[in-house]
Amino acid sequence: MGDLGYVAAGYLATALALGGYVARLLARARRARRRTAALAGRPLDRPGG
Amino acid sequence: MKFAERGMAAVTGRRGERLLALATVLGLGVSAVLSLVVAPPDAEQGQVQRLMYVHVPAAWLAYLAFGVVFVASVAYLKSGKTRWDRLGVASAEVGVLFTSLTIVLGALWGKPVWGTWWTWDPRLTTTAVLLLIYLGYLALRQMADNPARRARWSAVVGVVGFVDVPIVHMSVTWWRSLHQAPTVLRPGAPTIAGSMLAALLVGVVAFTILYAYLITLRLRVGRLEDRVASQALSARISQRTRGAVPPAPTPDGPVPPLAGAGAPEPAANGKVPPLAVPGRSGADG
Repeated sequence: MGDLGYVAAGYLATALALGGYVARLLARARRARRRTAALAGRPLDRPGG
Repeated sequence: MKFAERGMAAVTGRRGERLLALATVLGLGVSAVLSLVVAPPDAEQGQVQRLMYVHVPAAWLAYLAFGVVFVASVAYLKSGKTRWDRLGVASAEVGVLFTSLTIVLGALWGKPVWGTWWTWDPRLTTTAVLLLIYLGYLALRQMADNPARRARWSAVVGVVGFVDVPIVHMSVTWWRSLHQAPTVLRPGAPTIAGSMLAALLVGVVAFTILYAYLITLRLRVGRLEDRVASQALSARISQRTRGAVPPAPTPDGPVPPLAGAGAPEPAANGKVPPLAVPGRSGADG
């Protein structure tokens, strides 16, 4: 692997780690919101909240 | 303490979160342009030195995150408020992510420059210990089922574990190390060229904004999950008073039914079996 290959791998790893973590947090928030709404017996009032 | 709590509430609102997301994308975009296009290649290391514009901010962010865990842990031990525990675990999670990233980026830089992915150098070893400490912090939280005890134990680890952060930073000064000495956070002027320093500082600022965004998002998740646990508990208590106890909810599982089949029968002495209580401690903030 040339020097640029290491650089590309580093930036790609950073983007994947950050993107993956943010996506995981958003999914957890969505799931928790659905469960809150289900437990309260009401429909979801707004997206992403 | 009240001022800090009010400030935290203002920043972590939904509007603050969206603004931080926008600032993060802009900051990381500018940082990428400066580090990949504007900054020149290093005279000795060549192109691979560009990894430093991500490696150093990631390491700084790990220090910052564990510093916040320390402050939140002290605040929790003093006040007993759940919001400090929530901030502590949020920051520990982000800190573990960035410590791992620091090690991976360091290995990618080390292979072409040092000729090895890993060596038991003092800086690398103390950083690996730092990662293990905070992985232990997160693992400990999975083991304790009582929310108050879980918060207290992890706050103690959050205070004690922070001792390793200055050791990591000073390791290149205290011991003979293959890792290069500090070039910015050192006595006297920085020892790198102006354009490289600018790219590095913009990266540090961008990653700091990213940290604020991740913490805000992680706190919202923590609040929502606590609310789920609290609502589930209320529903179960109200069912219990009517004589039917639904099964305990799992953290990620489906919502348990609130009534109907599956509720345990009262024992022969007429007592309902005790509930396994998920959720928050009584000392909520």
